[in-house]
Amino acid sequence: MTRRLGILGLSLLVASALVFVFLRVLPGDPAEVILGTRATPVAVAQLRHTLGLDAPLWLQYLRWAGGAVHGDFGVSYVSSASVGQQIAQRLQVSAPLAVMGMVLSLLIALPLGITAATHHRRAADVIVSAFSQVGIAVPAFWAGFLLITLLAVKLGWFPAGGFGDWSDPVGALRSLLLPAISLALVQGAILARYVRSAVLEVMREDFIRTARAKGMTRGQALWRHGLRNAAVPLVTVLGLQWSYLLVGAIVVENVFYLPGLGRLLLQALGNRDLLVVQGIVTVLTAAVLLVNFATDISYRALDPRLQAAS
Amino acid sequence: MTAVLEARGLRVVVNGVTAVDGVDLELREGSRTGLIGESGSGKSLTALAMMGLLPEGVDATGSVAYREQELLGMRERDLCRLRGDRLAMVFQEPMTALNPVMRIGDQVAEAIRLHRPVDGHAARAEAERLLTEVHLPDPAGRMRAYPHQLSGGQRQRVMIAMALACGPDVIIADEPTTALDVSVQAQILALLRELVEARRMTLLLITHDLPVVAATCENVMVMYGGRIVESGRTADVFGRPRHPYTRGLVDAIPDAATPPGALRAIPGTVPGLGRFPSGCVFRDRCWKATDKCHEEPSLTKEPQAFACWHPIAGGETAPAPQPA
Amino acid sequence: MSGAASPDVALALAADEPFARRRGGPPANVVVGVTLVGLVVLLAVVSLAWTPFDPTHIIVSEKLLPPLRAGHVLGTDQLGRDILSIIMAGARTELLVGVIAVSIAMFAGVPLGGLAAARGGWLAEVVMRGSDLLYAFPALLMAILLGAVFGASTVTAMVAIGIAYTPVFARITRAAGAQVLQRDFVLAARACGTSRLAIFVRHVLPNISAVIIVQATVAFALAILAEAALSYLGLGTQPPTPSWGRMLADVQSYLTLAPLLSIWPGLAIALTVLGFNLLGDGLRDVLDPRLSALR
Repeated sequence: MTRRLGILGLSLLVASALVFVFLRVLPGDPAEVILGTRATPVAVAQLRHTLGLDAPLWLQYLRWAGGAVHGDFGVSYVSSASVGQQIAQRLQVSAPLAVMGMVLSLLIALPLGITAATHHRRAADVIVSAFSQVGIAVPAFWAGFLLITLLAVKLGWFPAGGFGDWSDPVGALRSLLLPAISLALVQGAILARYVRSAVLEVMREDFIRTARAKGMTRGQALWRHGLRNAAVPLVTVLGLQWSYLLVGAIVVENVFYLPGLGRLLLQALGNRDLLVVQGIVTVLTAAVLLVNFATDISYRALDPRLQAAS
Repeated sequence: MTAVLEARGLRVVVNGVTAVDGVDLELREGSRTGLIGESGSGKSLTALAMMGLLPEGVDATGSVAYREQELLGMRERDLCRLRGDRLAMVFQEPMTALNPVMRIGDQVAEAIRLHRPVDGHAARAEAERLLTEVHLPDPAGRMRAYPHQLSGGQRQRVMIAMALACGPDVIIADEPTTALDVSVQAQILALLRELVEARRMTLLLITHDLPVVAATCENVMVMYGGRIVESGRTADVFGRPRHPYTRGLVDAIPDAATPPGALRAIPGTVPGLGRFPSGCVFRDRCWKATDKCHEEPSLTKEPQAFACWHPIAGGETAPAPQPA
Repeated sequence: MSGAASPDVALALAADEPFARRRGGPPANVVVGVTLVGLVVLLAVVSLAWTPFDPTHIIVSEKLLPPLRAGHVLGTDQLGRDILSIIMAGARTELLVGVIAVSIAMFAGVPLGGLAAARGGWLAEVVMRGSDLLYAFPALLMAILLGAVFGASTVTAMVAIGIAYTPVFARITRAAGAQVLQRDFVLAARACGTSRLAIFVRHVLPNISAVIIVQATVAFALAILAEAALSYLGLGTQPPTPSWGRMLADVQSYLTLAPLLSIWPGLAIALTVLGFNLLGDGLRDVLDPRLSALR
């Protein structure tokens, strides 16, 4: 376990270092951008020194990393606001959005995939497969447009965009629901295919036949024996899809004018606000690595054969 | 003695290929019957068809009756009540036949709770008792073990325990020892025989291994190409076979006295499914085949039934083997 | 599944295979896929010579016309531009992005993967670890960052997407290539003194081409989706070059006024991607016997 945690920490370090270096390649000197029209060579040099931009790259990174471990992601060159605070605020929108998206996609994919598998090659299977194909082809943000048009504009059940804050939890959830559904439709379509093939695979196993020989119906055998065994490949897929979900959330935030990490990222890129970009990408990377870590651990819980091996 | 389980004209077609071609089979109460056949003879499908466990899309026609109740075409719900309770099956590969993520004790207890209104506690107690009955070492400890922590022989004992859980009338064992080491095979067979006799069950033992049947079963049926070609008492069928295929099978068993290089194989190979000849299924490998054999021979009457136009008489043996 | 199932049982289980070939001509999904792809290509090609109106021509007085008014089959957008013309011209952009991005990914990934397969050793390890790292980073995020660094344009989008998908091709080339390299006819060629490059081109490539082609169609579809998202965010194709993704960004403020506006570009994207996906699936089924040998 400690070894895995160590690898997690190391990956995080390496990833953030890579992003750090990459961002320094950005054309455009932050000092110049900040000073704008007052950017004389002397002023620029002075500001660079003040901001620590003239130090060697590895030193700059270490300073940043040292702070980051304590949650101090620095102060934005552009807005002079604490990067950490900005990110924390935006996370209030993005994190619930991503989680809701994931949960809803499972709620869509599991029943559909299981139904398709149990009605293998019959009508329900064909319909689910068709839905899958369509869902994979539709851009998530366009699904957002359609949902807005239908449910917000025409029917008025949900707001068309914007986000208040969590002091009004019901309102907040309503604001997040349509975006989460846009994400979930696409992710759900992808996952449904995997659920279907995982269930089909499991139904062919010998122990399902044994279960039926004991007197269980196919359905009972699937429920009590099959699903637990199908969980491992599914968890793998979930882990892989998580990063795509996060990125999809970035795009969807723009459709619904949600003040989340995605919009902050795009603004910061436009403003050459390096520290903000650095902070956001690091947080995103951490989210992905954490989920990978979690799936890894879950394997050992789900499959007792792996416990013996370690 | 009444027939507990019988099949009449059982036919199983897979993808247009007839794998089981009109099999008649009768198991008398308390009897131990062996079903011998090589791979591709259709013996496993016969067993699965009788239990109603054929894969999706594969259907059986004909009749299978358990104590006069017709099983083919019975509603799945009713069939589920019989399976596990009155009719039990033991499979070949205990490693894959047990759920790898579920504890042994829970799997055995489940077999009980499916058919008996007992609580978890009572079921587990009974499960432990069953594990003792099948001579599993350290039954109490094993209850919480997972399948991969047991040896092949131990897993098969667990499978047998699960099959016995509700005290069934009939046990069908499909190659129960084929995947096990030779030394363990004898133990498992002895266990089966002991339990079947003690509980007065009816046993159908499916295998390709003649000595296994000889040791365990009083009756035997020989299957080839989806059909029963000979049946009767084991001693008679193996001692004085009437069908050339049976003769070939018996001759092929090497014993301690067989000189090296003198293995007697049946010439040719088993044709793939769907490629058996018309008429007598064995005629393209049989040394006694004539034109008459283009006509399908029917099974003669008991006690030693055979399906052959030119049955073996007296001490007739197959011609000397060709070099392999 | 128990490998020790007897042939009769195995046959019965095989009958249950989800991909058992259906009889009677090409499967429905291939037909639909080919039709959709063909339609898009047709639109793109035709648009090179002719579109109903000039897609960049702004006539504010004719803005937001509904379909089938004044010769505008699909109506006009908020600046009076003919929607059908923009869609047709946009098809060009999308297909171009697809072709270039997938080409980059293939021409970078396949040789890398082939190198890893042929040489093995530490070189292969480095290549594959690097490719794994690249693969783990979400393509869109990478494209966003690259777009910000190097300025937003169609070219940046194409290159970014191409780089992001290189690992996919490297991986499959390495896996399939390693298998082919072990086969007898390759050993025979080596024995005759054929150069490694010649072996790769003449023997390995033809045998793995099926896998690569299927992957290419899938990558094509993904590239179009990625470009659409990038253009929507403003980090891809810039005006006046038409792009379906950017169309969606343009019409966002008019969702309440003219919801139809967002339907056309979105539908165009979805149908194109669907077409390529189905084509890929169909190709996979057709080439299946060889694919399963190489998997």
